[in-house]
Amino acid sequence: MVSESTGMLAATAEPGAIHKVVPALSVVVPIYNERDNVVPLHEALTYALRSLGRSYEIVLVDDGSQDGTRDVLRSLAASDPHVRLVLFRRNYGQTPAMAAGFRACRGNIIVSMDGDLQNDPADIGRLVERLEQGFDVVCGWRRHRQDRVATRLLPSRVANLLIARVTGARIHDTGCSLKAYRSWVVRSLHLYSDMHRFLAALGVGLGARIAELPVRHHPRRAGKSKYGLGRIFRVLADLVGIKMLIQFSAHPIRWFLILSLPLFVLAPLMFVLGFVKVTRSGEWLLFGDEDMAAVAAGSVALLVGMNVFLLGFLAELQIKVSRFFRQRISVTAREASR
Amino acid sequence: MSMPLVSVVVAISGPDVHLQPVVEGIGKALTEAGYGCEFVFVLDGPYWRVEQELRRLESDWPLHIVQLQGGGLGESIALSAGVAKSHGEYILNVPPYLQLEPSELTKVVAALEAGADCVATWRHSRIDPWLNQLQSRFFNWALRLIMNMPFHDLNSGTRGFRRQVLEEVAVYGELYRFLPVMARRQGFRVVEVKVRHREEKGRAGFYGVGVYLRRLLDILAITFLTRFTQRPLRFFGYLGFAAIAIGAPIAIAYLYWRITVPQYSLADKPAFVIGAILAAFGVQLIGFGLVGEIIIFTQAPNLRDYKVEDIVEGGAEEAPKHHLEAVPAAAEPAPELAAELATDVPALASSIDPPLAHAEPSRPTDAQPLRVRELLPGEDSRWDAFVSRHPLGTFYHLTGWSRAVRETFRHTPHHLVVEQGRRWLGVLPLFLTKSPFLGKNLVSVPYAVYGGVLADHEVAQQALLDHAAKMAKELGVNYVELRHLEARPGDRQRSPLYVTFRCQLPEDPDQVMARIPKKARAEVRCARLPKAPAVTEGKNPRRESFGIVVTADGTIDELFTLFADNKRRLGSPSLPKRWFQAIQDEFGKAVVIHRAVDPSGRTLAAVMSFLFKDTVYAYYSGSLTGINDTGVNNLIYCEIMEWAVRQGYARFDFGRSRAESGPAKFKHNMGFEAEPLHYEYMLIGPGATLPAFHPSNPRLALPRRLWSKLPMFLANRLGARLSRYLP
Repeated sequence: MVSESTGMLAATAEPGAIHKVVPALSVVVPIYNERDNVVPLHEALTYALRSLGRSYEIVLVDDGSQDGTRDVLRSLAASDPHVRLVLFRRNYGQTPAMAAGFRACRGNIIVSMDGDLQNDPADIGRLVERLEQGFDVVCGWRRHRQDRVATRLLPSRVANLLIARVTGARIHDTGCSLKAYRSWVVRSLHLYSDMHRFLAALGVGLGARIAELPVRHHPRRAGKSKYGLGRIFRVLADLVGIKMLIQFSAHPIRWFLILSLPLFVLAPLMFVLGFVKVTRSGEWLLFGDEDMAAVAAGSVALLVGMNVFLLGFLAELQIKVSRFFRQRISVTAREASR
Repeated sequence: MSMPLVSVVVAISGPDVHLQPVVEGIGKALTEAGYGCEFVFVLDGPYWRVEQELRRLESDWPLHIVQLQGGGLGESIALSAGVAKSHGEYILNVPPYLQLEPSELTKVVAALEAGADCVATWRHSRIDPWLNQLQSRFFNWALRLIMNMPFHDLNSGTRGFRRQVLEEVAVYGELYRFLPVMARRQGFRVVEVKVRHREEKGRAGFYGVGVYLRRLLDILAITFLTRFTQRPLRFFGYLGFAAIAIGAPIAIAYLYWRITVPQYSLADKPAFVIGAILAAFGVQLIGFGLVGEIIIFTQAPNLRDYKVEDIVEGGAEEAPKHHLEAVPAAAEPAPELAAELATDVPALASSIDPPLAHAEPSRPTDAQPLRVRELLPGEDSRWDAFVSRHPLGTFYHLTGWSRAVRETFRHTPHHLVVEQGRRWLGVLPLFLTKSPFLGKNLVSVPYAVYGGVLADHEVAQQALLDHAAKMAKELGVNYVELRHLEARPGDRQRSPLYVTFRCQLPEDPDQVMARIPKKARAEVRCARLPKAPAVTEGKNPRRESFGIVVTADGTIDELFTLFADNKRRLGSPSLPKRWFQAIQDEFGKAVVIHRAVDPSGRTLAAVMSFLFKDTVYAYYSGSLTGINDTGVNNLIYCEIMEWAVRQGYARFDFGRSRAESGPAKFKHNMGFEAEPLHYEYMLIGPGATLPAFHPSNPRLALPRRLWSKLPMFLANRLGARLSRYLP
């Protein structure tokens, strides 16, 4: 891995050819209505990336801004060959913007960050350094978060702890956008809905090695982060799904077996209860006084258990025909040859 | 730019239509309104006579005919087939007869041009039979109820779309009538336009039961599709867990009795069966959710739910022309220069700035008319950017302040923006405040000392004020209060009640002391020097000193306790604590609380200041009672000024006071000159006068005295309630 990136460095010794070769480093920034932040952001990024001494590109994704951000971006792109713009016609949200940015970037190392100057571009160098010590994903950790209120920090702490526990990706801060990846991780993961929160966890499912690094964090200028009860439920539901995806994605039927197992245990129990009765004198009575309700409940449990088990087959089929599965095999194979 | 092309798409599902008036009416109306138009007719079946009529019209109008194979495919498919054949940026979907006056259609196109992505029409003064109207009303009412959508007339056959909407929102079957609903769910801007109804075709009277049933199923399907397909596990997971949570305890309880209680029979306990089935059902639902999740996950690469408009390669594009004129030296951002630029990032940045400045000339051009409208959600950052750029913009104009006011006091914002084309020329933050003491008023800005209009020139200002006056009349308010700091052009009623105190800060923190008049300086010194008793005899008599230290780490609790106590002493209701919290939440690091602590660790005074542009606004303050002789009040402001200088701020704002009041004298003694404030009032309501409900009013002396006798907890409780009515 290390030799690969130094090779890239040699290729870019000629500064005139910067955007002709594949850049070593891509920075992806989704941007939405940040007209006044774009120029300072670009300046800070350029400064930080130049000092790294390797070829780079900055992929700016305009998520359908309406405040003139786009014109600023275009004039930036016109004057800087390192900039690549991905323009959305309307606002889709952060995850699609991130996904489009990932799709558009060409570097071997990919760094994602927020466009609102909450992350510090000066941290990129450290993240990349850490990545090259032999990791596949390095997550930023806003150790001293600049969000003002404890009431907002606590739910986020709990959520992070839960995610770390359940998924096995021991990350303190899943919400931080500043992360560095090797490109294969990004290419094999396809983001949808709120999945960016679980990117590291999904990486673990793929067999990526994950590290964490404290990064600087600047206060938010305006707006609020929202942590309500509804969100907690959503994170919980997502967690169940993620757990299944990363742990059983090779054999989802096992996960379904776990789900149906209690039903399979219950069913015979109910049948016994239905057909066997202990009389007042302590005698066992077989088929003497059948309990219809218990038998019915047992049948239902058996039926549903069977159903869920069969759903597992469907899931298994779906996974087998998917790319994710093949990717996983290739990663495992690489791991073995290392 | 050429005129925008409008494609009129008509689906024809029966032979008995007469299309000539449709084509001629709509075509004429659109052409007259200055749009290019083309027609696409989709024949959903072999209608020879209709086709012949269309062929005749083909010579006069740009017209495409799409013949669907087989026919009977339904309006949704006909529509998408028609859209595929059309070329226009805007697409109008109309029924094959003149449902509306053709001139009304230009309204729909105009709404699209104004920025809407999708336009639903609302037929007004409907002329179809009352029974149909009733059914239609009921249908739309049910829809509003179930889906929480603001549409009144989804059955109207006339709809307008931006092409992108139809490319992204897929419909089938009869779902085309829900296109506005689905577009809105996907984040498009959908508006409803009222149109005049002309004629209606279709059956009168009751439809069959099947129709109603189908409509109902459609609503359910739409709700389900738009809401839950993104993350199936969330939806099924909720339902499943809920089912288990209800069913499992019931079943387990009965089971427990069955096993422990002899002779207990479940045979006559239907609740047990129901509980067991519910629980099992829940497990199954979760299973379904998981399968759904796996399908979505594995298909994610194919289900790209966004569309990229354009990818721009940096440097590949030619720099804009005015950019070349502005900075010829940096005109060639050639890669050869990159090596030189590598050490000189600011140079690169400076080559970017000029075109931005150029793109926003500050002079009005008369090409486009001014338009005043209310601020839309999502424009907060743009508003803040405007305020920051405007020379008269103050901290209190920022949307953060407005959000805090809205959340804490629940006043309704009516912020106005004046724009020319896409460019903003001015803003006016306004809140509708209602109060038993002051009546109903529009205030710019409540709870702030400054506010009012920010405009690039007088025309824009006048447009804003005219609109505000019009809105004020509609809302039935007494007056519009504009808390201007500086004078604005124009002649309005002015209140001379308040003055403000500001100063330029020196370059060096040590010079702050030097600027304070002698007497106050002595106070500052004796508060600051290490604690020592007074020396009255001997060679060097000196006053007692207190060793008070000022730090910038005060908390809201400290500030609030002192502030509320002072307020009560003065006989005014305090502000609620959550107000201070809300401000801090909104502005974070731009809010600083200084506190003065004496050597024993007691907090004597606290001041909350706001930081904006180059100014520090000392705003809310409080100090313990009976410690005036320590000079702590002089000290804390002196220290804040020194702190401000050290932090690089150039101006200090001591805030407003009533002219000739105690605080005004205190500020004067600190070496500040009173500046008159230009608080202006537009009196709207009949018999409206300038507000007289302020602490100087002699009629308020008694209530104020009573208030100051209230116990603290009561004063805080009541004050929090009352402050809503004293903006």
